[in-house]
Amino acid sequence: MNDTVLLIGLPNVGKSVIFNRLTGLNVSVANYVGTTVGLASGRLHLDGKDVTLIDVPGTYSLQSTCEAEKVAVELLRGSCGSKKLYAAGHCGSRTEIKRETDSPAAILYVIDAGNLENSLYLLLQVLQEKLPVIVALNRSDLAREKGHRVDPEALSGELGVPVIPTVAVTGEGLEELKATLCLAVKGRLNVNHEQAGKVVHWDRVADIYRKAWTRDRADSKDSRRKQWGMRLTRPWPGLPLAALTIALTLGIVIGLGLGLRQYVLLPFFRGLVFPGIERAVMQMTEPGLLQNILIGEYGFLIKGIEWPFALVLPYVISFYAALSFLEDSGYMPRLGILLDGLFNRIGLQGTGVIPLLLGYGCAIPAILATRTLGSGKERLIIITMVCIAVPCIAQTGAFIALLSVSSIPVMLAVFLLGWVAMIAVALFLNRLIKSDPPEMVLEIPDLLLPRPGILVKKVWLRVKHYIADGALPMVVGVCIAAFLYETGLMASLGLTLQPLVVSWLGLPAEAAVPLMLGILRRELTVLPLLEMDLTTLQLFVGAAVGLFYVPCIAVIATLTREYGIRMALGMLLLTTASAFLLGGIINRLGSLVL
Amino acid sequence: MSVKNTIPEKQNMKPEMSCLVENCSSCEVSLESLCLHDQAWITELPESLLLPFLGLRPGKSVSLVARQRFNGPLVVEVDGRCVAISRRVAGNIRVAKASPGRSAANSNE
Repeated sequence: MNDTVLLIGLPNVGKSVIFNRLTGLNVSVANYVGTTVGLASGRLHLDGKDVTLIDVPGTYSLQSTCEAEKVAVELLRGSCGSKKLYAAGHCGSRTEIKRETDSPAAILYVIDAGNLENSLYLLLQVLQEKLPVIVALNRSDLAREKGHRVDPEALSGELGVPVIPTVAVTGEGLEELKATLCLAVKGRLNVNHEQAGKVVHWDRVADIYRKAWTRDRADSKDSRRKQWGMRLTRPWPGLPLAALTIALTLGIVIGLGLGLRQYVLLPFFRGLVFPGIERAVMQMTEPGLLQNILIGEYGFLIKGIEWPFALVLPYVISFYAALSFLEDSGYMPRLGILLDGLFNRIGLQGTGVIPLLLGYGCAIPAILATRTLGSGKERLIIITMVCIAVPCIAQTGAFIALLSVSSIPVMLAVFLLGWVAMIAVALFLNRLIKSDPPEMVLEIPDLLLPRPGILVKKVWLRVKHYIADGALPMVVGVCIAAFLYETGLMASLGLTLQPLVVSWLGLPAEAAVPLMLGILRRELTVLPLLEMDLTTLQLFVGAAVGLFYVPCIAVIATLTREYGIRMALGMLLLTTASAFLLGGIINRLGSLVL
Repeated sequence: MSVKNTIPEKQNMKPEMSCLVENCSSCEVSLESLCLHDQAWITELPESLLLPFLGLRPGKSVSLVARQRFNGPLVVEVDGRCVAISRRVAGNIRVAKASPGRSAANSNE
């Protein structure tokens, strides 16, 4: 017998939170529709039996009109092919799902108790499959706060399946859920398939809803949370507050990052760690090639630690703290609808702001998030914008390290140039690909105050991913740079690329090396420039080339997997060409002015 | 129900539109032509795979919460939940000021 259990429900009802709680895994969760864009699976230990729990992306019905619905139907009927289905995560995290050929042992259907009526249609469709179904009545705390009361027994009586109230974020009701699930997979659950014979219709939904739902307080006043949710959704005061939120977020990311770097991490490494390393290396090695590779100009025991952990890590922490707060509060879709009209002019829906913001962390989750976008045209526009001029947080940290001390106007100019290029590219693609304007129909989630415990966990997870997928390749990159520099290979490489780097871009010959390393990691196009004595114009050219230059190797791999080799090669060509073209133009124009 | 907004949103009202729903209690208009804070009942929906699942079904009561700038979407409240709908889609949703009298599908608010 198949030992899989499917987690099914409407979008944004908390399936992934329940999944994480039950399996101990960590798939991304956030307060908006479409956070889960692929399947995630994990082992769940029930009393004496192990089962595989699969977190299915949220769907509204089983009519197979979109990819997510097709996947849900295939899994329900046990006919899911060996498609490549991945869970969205930070840089490179993914879970591949093994081929499933049998029907699942049980279904865990998750309902948002505050949105009972709309949830029942899909549930009735699922009941048609005549499988053991357990209903988790999630977010029952929020429903209580709104004055809604759902009677689990009445609901259970109507549907013929067990209904268990839960609050996934606190873990309430999950033990009972596991116990019932255990009975179900062992085949000991009393299942009443009476509902399966009836036609699924909204009238029947309304009938069941009336029997199970009551309002506790006749005159419930809107909570302050709801009032703020409304304010942030209306153009006034929503639009000025949106500008304020973005400014505040930028301030927190840069301020908190700078503070962590300047007062905590740099003093720690430079004051305590590096002197120790230098002393130890000098004692153990003779002056010469090896010692220089270890602690010289590009010494990888020094720069290999300082760059990833003292210069970039602080911004990874501050960015994901701010992003996680925005994600869990339910603010992102509000920003999306406020900006929808403007985004329409570049061929996008307002919700395109979500992958763009994710891209400022890392391009990989941004590319994966484009799966939920309506049209291929929107996906192409967003991906091009992200690849061409959205720096990942590691590269942003590198920009700040390079430019904040010497030239803040140059830093602002680099980011401004990036935005102008993004808008230009989107406008161009929008003109090039003719199609009807996108039509928004979007559910706006409740505004929630994120829970500190969950925020800390989300930030910690992303820091862990950064260390594994970002910092370690960076150390390898620095090691390569140290070797090239100390053996003199860097000089000959510089000589080969001299026409491009020196004559066209006006940079020192050794700047050829960051261009090579940049293929490995985006920030490595920028960080080595720290060690060169550059003029303001050279800083601007170097930073602009770094911004437009190729996305890192992991992004190219993700693009190939998601959209094929042609898309990946196209992006490589586009980014390289635009980097050198714009860098050269800036150099020429700058030389005329200065 | 919807929060009373203390700040007037005159800019959002189209001058040529005279709150059709208020003037005519029995006739049907499109959701797009409602004025802010107007309440109405859905009578007809365009073929849509998504709208019914977001609570927009015939007989449901909706109120207009916001009209976004730059020709952006409308935000309507249905059953205490907000949904953003582009103006073109909203233009195809028919509503009436009078309740259809279907107690079964009426607003639960």
